[in-house]
Amino acid sequence: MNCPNLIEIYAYLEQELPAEDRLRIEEHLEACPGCRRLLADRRFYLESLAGLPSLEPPPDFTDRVMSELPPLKSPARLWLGLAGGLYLLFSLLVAGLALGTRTALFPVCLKIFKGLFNLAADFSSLIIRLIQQAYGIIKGLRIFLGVVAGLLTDIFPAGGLGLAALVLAVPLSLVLFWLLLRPAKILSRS
Amino acid sequence: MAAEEDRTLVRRSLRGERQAFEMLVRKYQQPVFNYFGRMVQERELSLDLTQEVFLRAYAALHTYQEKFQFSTWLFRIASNLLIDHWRKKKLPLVSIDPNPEEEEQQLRQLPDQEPAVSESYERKELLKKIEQAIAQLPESLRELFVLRHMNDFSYEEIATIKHLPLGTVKNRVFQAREWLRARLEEK
Repeated sequence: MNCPNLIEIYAYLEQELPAEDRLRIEEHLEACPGCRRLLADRRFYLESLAGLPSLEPPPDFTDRVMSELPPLKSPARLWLGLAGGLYLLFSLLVAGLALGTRTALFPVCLKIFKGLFNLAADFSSLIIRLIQQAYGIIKGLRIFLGVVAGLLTDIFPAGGLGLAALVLAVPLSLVLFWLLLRPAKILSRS
Repeated sequence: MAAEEDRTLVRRSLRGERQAFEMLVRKYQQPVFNYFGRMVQERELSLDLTQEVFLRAYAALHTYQEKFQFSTWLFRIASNLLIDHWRKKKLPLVSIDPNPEEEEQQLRQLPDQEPAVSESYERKELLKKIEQAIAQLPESLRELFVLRHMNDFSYEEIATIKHLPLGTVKNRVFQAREWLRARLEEK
């Protein structure tokens, strides 16, 4: 075979070549003193690079970094910040409009006020509707649980209600344990 | 596994455990400082840049995606910071892409009777000479060289840090090595 190029020589030394190419080069090296010399030189050079000293930061560097840490940005903080920003914007708008009503811009400000009021009213009715729906779900759940309780009382005769509670408590406890232990499991995996 | 350990430390840091982030700082302060030290060649500036990397990483920790290694994510911050630093200093950008045909030719040819480095230098003397030569490497070649030889990143990891194709990374590291080696021949 032809002599390998320098890229192949480095790839060979860094074990980046597939086994087939590696063997091919090894066979060639046995027959070619020039390539053996080149390989030995680049090996010495790469080993020298690996021997370069590392630069070390001073011992108190970690403390220096930790004392300068900014507040942690978490998604919850971001949402709170966004809500706070919106509230501030809204307050400024209302304050601006309130001041505007004392000037010649009174009709315009009044119109915007009306618009804002309508928007707030729509938003409030939406929230009330959502609450009503949630209440409906809770009511439905209550009725369902009542039916289940009735059935259980029929299945487990007088005095067996304790046993029914026990039957229900076991799966509930298991679910609860699973929820509690889940983060610990993630941590212990590493 | 080290990568998984890092992910756990990030999760704990995000839950507000400063001690977990401190462990990440302790683990990576030396490689990051080594990177800046080789790149900017000034100790105090390297310390400032290293500190800035950790402060930026902490502030942006919620954006870290676990599909990446923490080390490559951290070094991407470091690399971006370095680019900002160079821009502020208005260093001229050195073109590191030679004529492709010329490069192809160069890679195919084997050096004709070059003096062996091992014959010209003692190891200690060679290390000193290499250190001096690294400081003269063009910045973009130097960065990939440092990531490979000082920080021991794989070619794939460097490609992730620098958003470069794998082939480009391998080529540039090769160019850097041979550029440095050529300087060693100049006694």
